[in-house]
Amino acid sequence: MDTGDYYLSGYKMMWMMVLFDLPVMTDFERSEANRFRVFLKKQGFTMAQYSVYYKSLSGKEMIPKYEKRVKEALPQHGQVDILYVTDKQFENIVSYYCRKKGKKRDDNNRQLLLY
Amino acid sequence: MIPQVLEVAARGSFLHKSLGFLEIKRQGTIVGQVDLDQFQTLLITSPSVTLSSPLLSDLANRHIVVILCDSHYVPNAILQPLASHNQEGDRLQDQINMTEPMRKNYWKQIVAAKLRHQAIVLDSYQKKNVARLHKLSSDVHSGDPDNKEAQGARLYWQSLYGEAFRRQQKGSGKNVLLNYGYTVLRSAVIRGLYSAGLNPAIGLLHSPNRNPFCLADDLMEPYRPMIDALVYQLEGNLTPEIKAILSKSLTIDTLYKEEKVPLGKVFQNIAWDMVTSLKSKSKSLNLADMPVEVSEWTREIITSVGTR
Repeated sequence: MDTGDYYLSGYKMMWMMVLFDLPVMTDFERSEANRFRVFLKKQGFTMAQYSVYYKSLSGKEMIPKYEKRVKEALPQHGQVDILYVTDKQFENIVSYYCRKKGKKRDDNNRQLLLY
Repeated sequence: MIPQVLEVAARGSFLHKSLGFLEIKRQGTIVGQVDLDQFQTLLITSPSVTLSSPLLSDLANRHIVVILCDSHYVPNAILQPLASHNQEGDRLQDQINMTEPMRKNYWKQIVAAKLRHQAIVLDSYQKKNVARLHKLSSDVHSGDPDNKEAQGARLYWQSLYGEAFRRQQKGSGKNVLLNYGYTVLRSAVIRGLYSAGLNPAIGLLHSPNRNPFCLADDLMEPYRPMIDALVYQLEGNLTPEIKAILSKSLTIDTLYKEEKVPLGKVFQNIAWDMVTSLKSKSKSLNLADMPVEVSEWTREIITSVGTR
């Protein structure tokens, strides 16, 4: 019987990534870009790099809900891409920082978060 | 919503809302940020945690169950959202209108399921009294007038944990582990009730005089044996590993109307069904069945936490 796999599975859990390239030449463009970033944080997105934000979703069925929200908050100008990967795929990310290999991502697939 | 449990156990933590995150600070430094969509239960087990009011109000809006515990891991306060559901007035009326025969029949089904589940646990650990518990389970009358539940409990605890064991909330040893497991279970039931707009204060048999969450305590009865079965395999103090194992009990698949539904989610189904039963004045309640391969799923959960 696959108990945990059904509920918090690395194959079922998705990461939603929002990648953007927004113009910041005028005051209006800057404020639009800022508004979009704050919106993403309010929705629970974490910054990976300056224009890359991600958030974990419990499964595919959550995609339309957040995609709609992002769509409604799009800035006037610039490009925004949305990408989905499973937790299993995201786990295999290879990261470098100052030419040194970063440590492996802590998996999100836990039932208890303890602080 | 990722159905995780967030526990704050360290002293001197300050919890507040920062955009879409719950931020945990200790001595002015940020020790963690958790997406507010990511957990369904916030468990405060440390005696010195400070919470901000915008955070509390946001948690209530999201129907996240906030539970404060005493030093024995027994919950002593729960944050209840005021308007958890747009049909709440309607539901409350249906709950108040619950007739005595309905109440007693629901309770009969709960006790019968609990005794049956207890028998399954004893059976899988090759303990005695299995047949007697099955017999008790099939003999429960409406409202359980001759208290088969208590008769069963006496046999059950002795068989499972030995003659010397006493189940006490303020007890030590396995009692502390049981308290923690039941607290996690209770949070799932309460969430299920909120999601269906039911008021946990109007119970079946547990008296509301001393317990504002008696409906939750009624509905969790049949599933306590699942925690007991896990605790049977565990020894020692309540370490973070053991907490993780007990929290993971919510991922166990129960059988609900011939479908697999994890324990942490099945109370939503049960609560919604109860709403239908209350509306139609039906005397039957649909409860979920515990998975019978007890030794299998307990082992699986314990090893999955151990390997992390």
